Amino acid sequence: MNKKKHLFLSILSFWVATTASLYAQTTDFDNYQTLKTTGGLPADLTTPSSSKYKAEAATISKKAKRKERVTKDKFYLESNFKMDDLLQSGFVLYNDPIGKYIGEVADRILQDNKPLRAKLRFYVLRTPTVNAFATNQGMIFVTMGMLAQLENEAQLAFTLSHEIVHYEKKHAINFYLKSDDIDRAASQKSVLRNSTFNRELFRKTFSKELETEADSLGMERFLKLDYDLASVDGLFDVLKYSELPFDEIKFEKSFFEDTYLKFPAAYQRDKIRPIAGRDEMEADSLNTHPNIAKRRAAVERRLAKASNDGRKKFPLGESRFAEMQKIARFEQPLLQLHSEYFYNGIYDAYMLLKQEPNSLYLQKCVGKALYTSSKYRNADNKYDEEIDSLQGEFQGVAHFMEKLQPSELNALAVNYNWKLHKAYPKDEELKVIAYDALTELVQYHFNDTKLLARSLKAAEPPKVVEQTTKKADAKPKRKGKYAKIDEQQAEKKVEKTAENGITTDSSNIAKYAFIDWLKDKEFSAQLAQAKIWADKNIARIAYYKSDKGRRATEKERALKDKRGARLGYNKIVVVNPYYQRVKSDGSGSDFIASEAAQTTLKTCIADNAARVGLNATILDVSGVKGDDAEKFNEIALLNDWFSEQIDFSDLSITPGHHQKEINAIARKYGTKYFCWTGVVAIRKPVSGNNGQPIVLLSPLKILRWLATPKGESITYCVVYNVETGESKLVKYLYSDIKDDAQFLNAQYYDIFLQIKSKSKSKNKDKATEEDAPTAPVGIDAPAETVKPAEATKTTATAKPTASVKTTETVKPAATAKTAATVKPATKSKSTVKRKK
Amino acid sequence: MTISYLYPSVYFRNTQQYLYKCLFVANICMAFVSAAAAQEGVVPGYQGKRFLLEANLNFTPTILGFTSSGHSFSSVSQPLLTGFGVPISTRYELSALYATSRQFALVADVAYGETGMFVSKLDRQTYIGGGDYYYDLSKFDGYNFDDLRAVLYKVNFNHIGLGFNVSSKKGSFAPVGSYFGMKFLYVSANAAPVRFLTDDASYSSRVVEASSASDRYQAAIQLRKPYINSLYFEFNGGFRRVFQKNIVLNAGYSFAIAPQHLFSRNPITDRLDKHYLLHFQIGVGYLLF
Repeated sequence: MNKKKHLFLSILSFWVATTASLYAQTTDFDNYQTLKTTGGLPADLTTPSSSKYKAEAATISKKAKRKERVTKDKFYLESNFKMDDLLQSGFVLYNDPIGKYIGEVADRILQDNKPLRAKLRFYVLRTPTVNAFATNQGMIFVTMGMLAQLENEAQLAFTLSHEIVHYEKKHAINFYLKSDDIDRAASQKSVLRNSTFNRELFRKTFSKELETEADSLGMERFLKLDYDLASVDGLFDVLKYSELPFDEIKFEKSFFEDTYLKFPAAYQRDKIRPIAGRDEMEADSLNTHPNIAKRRAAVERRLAKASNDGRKKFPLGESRFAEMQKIARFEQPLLQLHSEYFYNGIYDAYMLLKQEPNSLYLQKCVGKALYTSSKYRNADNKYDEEIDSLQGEFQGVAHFMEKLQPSELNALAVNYNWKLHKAYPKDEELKVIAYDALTELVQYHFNDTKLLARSLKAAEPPKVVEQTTKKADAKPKRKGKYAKIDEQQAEKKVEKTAENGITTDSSNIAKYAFIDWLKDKEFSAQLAQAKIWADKNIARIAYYKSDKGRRATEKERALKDKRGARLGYNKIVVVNPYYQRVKSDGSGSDFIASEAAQTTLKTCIADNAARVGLNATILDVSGVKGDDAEKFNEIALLNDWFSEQIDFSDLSITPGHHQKEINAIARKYGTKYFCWTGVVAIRKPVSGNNGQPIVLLSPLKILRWLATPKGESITYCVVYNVETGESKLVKYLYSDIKDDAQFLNAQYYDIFLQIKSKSKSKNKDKATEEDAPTAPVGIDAPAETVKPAEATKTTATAKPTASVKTTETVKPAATAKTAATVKPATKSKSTVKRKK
Repeated sequence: MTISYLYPSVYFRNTQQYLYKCLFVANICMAFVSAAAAQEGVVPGYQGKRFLLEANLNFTPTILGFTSSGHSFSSVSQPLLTGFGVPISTRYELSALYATSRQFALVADVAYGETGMFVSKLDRQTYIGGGDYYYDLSKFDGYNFDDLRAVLYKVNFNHIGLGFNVSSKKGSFAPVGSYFGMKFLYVSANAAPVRFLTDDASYSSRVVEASSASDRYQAAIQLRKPYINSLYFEFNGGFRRVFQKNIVLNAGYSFAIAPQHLFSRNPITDRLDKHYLLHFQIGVGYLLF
């Protein structure tokens, strides 16, 4: 019987593995689509934060000391609400292939502890950083960056074993309790008093104890499994070199060159700084984790006693891991762009293009990175990173990008994106980027386009620069970047020689980029058009910089404030209305009140939109149900898009990194106007001036106190045309009025009336036309893409899209059933970052 | 409450005076309608409701004068008159507000009130001379004028007011929320003696009300000019809160002055100046449309 059972299980495993393998191979990397949430949404996401908090708070023993009860209650409150912010942010994926894979690895790890497995949920976090963490609620997160860097399944298993111990031993809450103890002790007479350093030292020491315990117990669990023990040591290499990209491949500038576009040899860095990684012996007294050397040594001591016989690196199959890893790596370039690490994005895509040279997705990532970097540089922004401090081959990319003059970078962005556009003419996103990059080039660098055309026609093709490279012939023992790091550290130098290019004159380099393109009718036509737009932009900028322009702008702004925006839109989508009620002492968010206020806000929005006759659809993540994965994805994309707009508000980045999907969302909801709005408010404690007793106040103050306890609030509302990235309404109001129903109703009625009402000067049909999203982005509407203030109307045919009725369409006094706060990722200042 | 404008002859001694008042009202109205027309705010009113009707009670502690029943904070310890009385002067007001922009609302109101003033024995000279008061000895009909220690005059007044409110805080939308404003008040008032005090036969230091002879006193003691019409400038502030979408509660204050009274005074203007100087206000209103 047992034999039959084994045979059956073997066949079954083989079938599952084969099917999974076949399934995995179906991923089309040429037309790669980024991972999205699928299927039913988990209760972690759909349960209101307050319900989770109450459930956890109910577990606090009444027999415990009051101090402990209070601290635990505070922990449950904060942790549930803050984790929900993360869960709802769109950075977490649900039911995605990688998450499922992690779940399967976890199944193997906990095959002998089913009750524990049932308590745990494993999620992937969309961030390029390398990390994994566990929460007190049983959620374990592994970042995409880490998954891209791991070498094998065994390393993932050890990571999960480590995190499982954190959950099992309740490290999160224990650390919180300990931290609270330390703070209490600091407030009394002790060595901790008035010493932040000592307090941190105690805290971090305790944290290191927890990490050591997680390593130790995680290892014990790991040893019981059939995973390869030698891989654990490699995991510490992953940590050591976590700040480097997932692979080490020499960057060749020829990647961006063609027959005519050549860059000087100096742009190719010939000496790359050797990789050192993090210092394994670094002082860790103020770190949360012991240093790598200590952790490695502790693990090695334990492993020395164990046998590695019969153990595997990939019990679930190497192909499955490879597939998972490849997907995680494919996610990297776009995540880097989202994080504004443009050079990293280019390098990640560059490395992956070596494997998948036909991947449109990767090429678009490179194109977008060049385009955005170029716009950033054209706007006189500068990078402040020290190239010399970088390590590894990534230094080559950073060096190349830094060497490029703004005109060269712009020319490269045009050249690269036009090539893509011509190769994929139906891709509207590429078209918009190519057109806009060209307009920027003309505007900032080659305003005399006729001269440019004449000089290029007369120009001789430059000599192709030959480069010779001697490569080391060492045979790496390990795969991936670690093999190459080993190679480099063994001092096997790669010799490089390069001759100088055609010229170092950046304007010539940029010009030569277009010799081929002038034969292209579309390019020539667009060059002429770009000249018109660029001239208009230049004139507009000059006008607004002049005294007359400034005065006119101020007057216009004042008039707009007085009269209202009068946008004349009939339909909008309100994305994630946000409410934060700050505690009266200003010490942080009042989570419960904020959640309740969020519900009130949604009702207020619905009610007031209906009052002004505005068709408003609320897309709110706190209201998603288990089967609303599509809506959740839409909100996540919109949040990403909004974040990009805020980050690059001064650059007019026309298409977002997910513009295609955003346009599809706009078409689905029948409007291209999306609104992000929210309130941050504080209610001050009820007292007189300087806390004087009420009885000493004047009768008027008593009356005032009775009716209006003091408060302060900030209301913001931004309405975007999501197809063009234009902000149509930006409202930011600070008020020292209590955020009661009257205040909210007044604000939102005003906002929605500004959106709904239209200027008398506008055509009657204007609003209807405005409401309808144009079918694809940029079709015959480049004037919008460059956003000249006085752009002439083009032949754009606005196609009224059939409006899709959704269940969330606002009805008067509609009340949302659930609510939770979602913080839109807003950043005050636009910066371009690169990882060292 | 008496709406005295239905009976103009009570307050206006001739048609010309009445016409002047009408012209005043018309001019003020024109000025504010013009101001309103200049406002082009796209979103006047609270949730689009611009018209507010409001009933207000204005009150002030009677410190510098007396109530119509003769009570005052200044004579609480030694009341001239016995009996219960709250030393608070009141005024009843009906207001209409119309928001012309986010921050600006026109206000029109009518108000009615009464207050009092005492003329004590020390002031008797004023009756004899050619001042503000006179008496008709023939009306005494044998009663001893010297017995009269004090006379309480009841001052009835009303006003029409026109002005504006400005929302004083960002985020407030006229006509609700915090506000400050100004109004022109056209005040009409008259006064008549209503109570007379004589020496108490039992206690020389006390006065008692001479009820038996009051009719005669009333006929005999008169103000030479028992009515006035005057213009006040009122400054006010406060806040209005909305409940149940349409109901508005108001709490505020006001103070008003009549600069021309520096040059032209009489007992009624003196009393009214003190009365209008400072008021607190509470009220309830309804947002009509």
